[in-house]
Amino acid sequence: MASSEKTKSATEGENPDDEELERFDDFTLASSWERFISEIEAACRLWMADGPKNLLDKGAACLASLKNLYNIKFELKYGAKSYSLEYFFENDHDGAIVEWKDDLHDLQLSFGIKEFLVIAPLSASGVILDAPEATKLLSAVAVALSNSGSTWPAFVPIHDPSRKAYIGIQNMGTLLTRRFESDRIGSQVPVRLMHLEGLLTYQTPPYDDEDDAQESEPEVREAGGNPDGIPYNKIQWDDDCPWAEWYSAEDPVRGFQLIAVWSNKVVENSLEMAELENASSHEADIWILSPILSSNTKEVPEGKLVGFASQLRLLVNALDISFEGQFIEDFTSVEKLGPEKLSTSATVPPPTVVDRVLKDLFHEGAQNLDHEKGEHRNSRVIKGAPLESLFAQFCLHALWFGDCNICAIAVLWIEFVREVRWCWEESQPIPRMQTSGSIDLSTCLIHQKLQMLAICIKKKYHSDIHFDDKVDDNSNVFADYKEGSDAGDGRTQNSASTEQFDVKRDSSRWKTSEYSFGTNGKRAVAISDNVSPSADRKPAEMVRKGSAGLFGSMMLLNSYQRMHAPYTQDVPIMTEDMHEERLRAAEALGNAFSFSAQLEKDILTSDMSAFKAANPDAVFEDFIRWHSPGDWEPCEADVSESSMDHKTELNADWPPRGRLSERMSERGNSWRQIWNDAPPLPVSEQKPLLDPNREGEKILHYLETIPPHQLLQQMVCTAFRASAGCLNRTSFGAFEQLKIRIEQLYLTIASTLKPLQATLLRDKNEIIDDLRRLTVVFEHVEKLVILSASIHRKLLAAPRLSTAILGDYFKYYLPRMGMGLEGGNEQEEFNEKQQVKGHERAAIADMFMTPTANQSWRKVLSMGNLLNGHEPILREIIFSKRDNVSDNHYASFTRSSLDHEIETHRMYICGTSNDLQVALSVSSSD
Amino acid sequence: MATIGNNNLNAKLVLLGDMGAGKSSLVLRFVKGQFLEFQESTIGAAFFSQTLAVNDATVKFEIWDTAGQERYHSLAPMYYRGAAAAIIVYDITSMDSFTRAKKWVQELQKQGNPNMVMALAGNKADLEDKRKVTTEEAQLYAEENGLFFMETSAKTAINVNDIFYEIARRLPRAQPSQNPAGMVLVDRPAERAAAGSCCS
Repeated sequence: MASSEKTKSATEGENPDDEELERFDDFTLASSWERFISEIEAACRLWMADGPKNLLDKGAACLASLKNLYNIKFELKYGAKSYSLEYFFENDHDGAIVEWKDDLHDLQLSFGIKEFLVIAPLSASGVILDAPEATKLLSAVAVALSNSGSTWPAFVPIHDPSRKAYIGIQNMGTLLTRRFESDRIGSQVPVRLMHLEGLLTYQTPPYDDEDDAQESEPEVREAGGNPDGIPYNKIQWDDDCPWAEWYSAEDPVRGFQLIAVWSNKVVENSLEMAELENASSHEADIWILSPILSSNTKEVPEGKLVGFASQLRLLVNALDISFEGQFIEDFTSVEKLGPEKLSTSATVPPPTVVDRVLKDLFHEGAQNLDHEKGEHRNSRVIKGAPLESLFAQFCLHALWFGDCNICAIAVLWIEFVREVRWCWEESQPIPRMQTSGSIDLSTCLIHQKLQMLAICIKKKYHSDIHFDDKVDDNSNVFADYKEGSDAGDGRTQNSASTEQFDVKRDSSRWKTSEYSFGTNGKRAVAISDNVSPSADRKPAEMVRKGSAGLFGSMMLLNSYQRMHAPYTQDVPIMTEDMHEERLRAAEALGNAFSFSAQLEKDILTSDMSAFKAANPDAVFEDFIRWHSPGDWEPCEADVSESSMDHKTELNADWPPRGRLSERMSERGNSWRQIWNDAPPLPVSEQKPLLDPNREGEKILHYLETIPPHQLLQQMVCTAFRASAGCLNRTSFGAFEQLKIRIEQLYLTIASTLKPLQATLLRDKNEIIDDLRRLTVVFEHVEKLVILSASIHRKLLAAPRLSTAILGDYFKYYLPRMGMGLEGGNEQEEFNEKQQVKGHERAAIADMFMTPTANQSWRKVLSMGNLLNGHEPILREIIFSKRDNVSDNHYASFTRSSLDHEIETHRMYICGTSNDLQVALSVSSSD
Repeated sequence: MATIGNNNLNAKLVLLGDMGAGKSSLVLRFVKGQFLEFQESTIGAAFFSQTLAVNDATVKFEIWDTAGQERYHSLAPMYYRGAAAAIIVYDITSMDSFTRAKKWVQELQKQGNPNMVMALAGNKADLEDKRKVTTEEAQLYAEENGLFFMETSAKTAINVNDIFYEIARRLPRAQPSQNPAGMVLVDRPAERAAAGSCCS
């Protein structure tokens, strides 16, 4: 039979045409055994002809756990049984055989091979228990392979799958054959197999003393970063992480695993082996580190993992329900709402918890914070309240208040507004709110309202004080202004270097609500004589009111007097809705070509009145020179310059020469009309542009009557922003990828939340669905942040490693981010490893703390190669013996024969002294 | 913000710049085709609207012309808030007004809508003999800051309509549904097959 097969293979070698092949098959096939062989042969030929590239195109599957290994299957029948023939191959065909790598297939590792065939019955267990059957199968494959001239090794599993026992054969040209055998010793490992010196002599005949046994010994051990089952301490690992204020996350890193590798040692006798066994792990050639991650880092079903994302999901649910009610009060009890509308729970935490939250919000850490500091630059695109502001803190508290259901939120909000009203009525500053600066229109409306209320309270407080002060004592009031005028001068000096016009507000001063206006830097030089003018001020002093100080060296046109800058009213602050109302009103007036907003006219009138009061002898031109200097045209440029040079001679530049610009001097100019109508009144006597009492009440009315869905919409926006801000504060080293993720998270949140800001929601359910999906994205980023923080703090001394490990993890994790909540079919574990560099070893070794007494039982394994007293948990050893096959030119096929030296014997051992996997491969010329 | 209904775009546009730079004159030239040698100084702000046909769509500009006086600066955010476009105007005969224009650009970049179309207009281009700001300087600045730049003259009507047409052309036609830099939300289960991987 052998000869006939040979002729067949020869024929086919010449005519590898498929059609001919089939014809030939029909002719020769005699028995079912031969048909079986020929079927295998056909499959192998096809695979050989295709090569890895085409096989990949034809749908060869990548093995989930091993990146570079692919397999393709072929099913066939023999007798009553079905078998599957599998071809495993690597994509890079030319790569050399790797002795040891952490992502090799068991068979590759065991036998030092690259591509191989496995034939196994298609039964449920896939195992042949019958030894004759196994031998028969193997020989069938061997015949088929030799017919097709292939040198692929072929394997048949034997025994129970857990034993990972295989027999195999490889045809290595015409002369050499390699045979393989592997098995596992589950218990009762003979003593000589427990130690390296014994293992060396285990292989009986082939290991003669003349041969070198090469050994590479990778060794795996577990680290004690936070060992299993041992409670770390009372302190949580994330105690100083920014999210710890709200919840404690389980440490995603359970520990580290270290692999120490000794490669290619030439050992001649058992003494050397014993020496090797006792060597410390510090002497190993290579260290490889990988983290052991907790199961939480994988897909966890919804609601199982508690974090910002889970609470945000609850808040979105509350938003969904909030559309059912008209008033917040509707949600304070289940009875009012009707239980059928509440699908979720309605538990409200007890009043003590409410009190604690309010105390935290209003009394603890109640200092005014600089909101902008430490918040991500993208945070502004989310229309929420700034981190640490009162409303942002309220939203974060609400997330963790009870189970964040709508009833709990309603109760908390009502109490919150009550507390805000108390601040208003008692003129107490609102905590965590800035009272200076303008209102940031990019924040949510509630925050704007609270900010405006804080400013109103401040103004109201002042006006109360002023009212008390006034007690008809005119001189007293006057003195007050004089004092203010000094302060005004000081400010002039300050702003001399800044812009031409700079309004300075002093937020620390509760004293005055007005501020100086129109400080022109060029005139700051004249301040030095701010005492002397009191002489020329005298005549006007009887009537001059509300001056904030001299306006540089400027002189009034019609009287020999210095110009005084008046105190002016603050430009009224407005929240977004007020702006919108104004714009709507303006637009309603239509294409009004001379439309000017009433507000600006009021401001102008107020400025003019104040200016008149401060400069009783002033004319319209004087006002323009101060207020709109561009509209005053000095007659000759050199005159004004010389006046600057000779400013000591006051006479020289008086009267100032110049005229109003054409546009200001036109007949019927509305500026002049307003000037003519404006009464001289200092700001203290003017009707305020902003009535703090009225505005404050309006704001409280807004807060007290806000419709539930509007509250919840703003809470959702703010809660997302604040939670993201909280995660963003986490320190995870200089890991760029995560920074990019966080940046993207902000943008994603902003674009998803945008529809919420529309006055009429386009499609509520769709938006709610989008928000739920947003929480999924948030959860991914949250997990990544927590993991990054954990790895970063554990590997503080080896930043390169922590970045590399995180980089690997991101590569592994990011493709899964789109899988959604229920997508969990990919069970693949994260198993990337990183080589430890020389200078990092000390830091890594420090993590393996010397074991405690109750850990030392492990030494029972007595495998040597200790690290800080830790025993390896697993040992892998590869022995190999090489021999010359000098004069065998028939074997020109095989790669190894080209070197004229092949591996004649190879033994792979893996496991501990209790549980050993052994694989042998022997080449012989039989 | 620009809003869209079948091929009709409503776009809020705001003019900012130093006093006397000619903001009101530009708008009046564009809206009414008029020019007043001595246009009265705007108190506060003025509102105009004008519709343009660009390609096959019409763009209705809602124009807010603001006052240049410093005193009204703090009111400016309410006008540029939510604006789809802004024209920052300076006077080519005044270096101060150019400096002021740069300040406005900075403020808009910081506070304004990030997708805002910004145009820099060097007005009073007819006063070539009094020029203080060179075309090259302004052009360079505009390029560095991603603005488009034209020198205009409300008096001679040079480039006035052009600048508004150019803005109309540059307005985003459709609101981007997702920020391209952001992450894709997981698709609904029914569409999951098509969703593939995200965030790569």
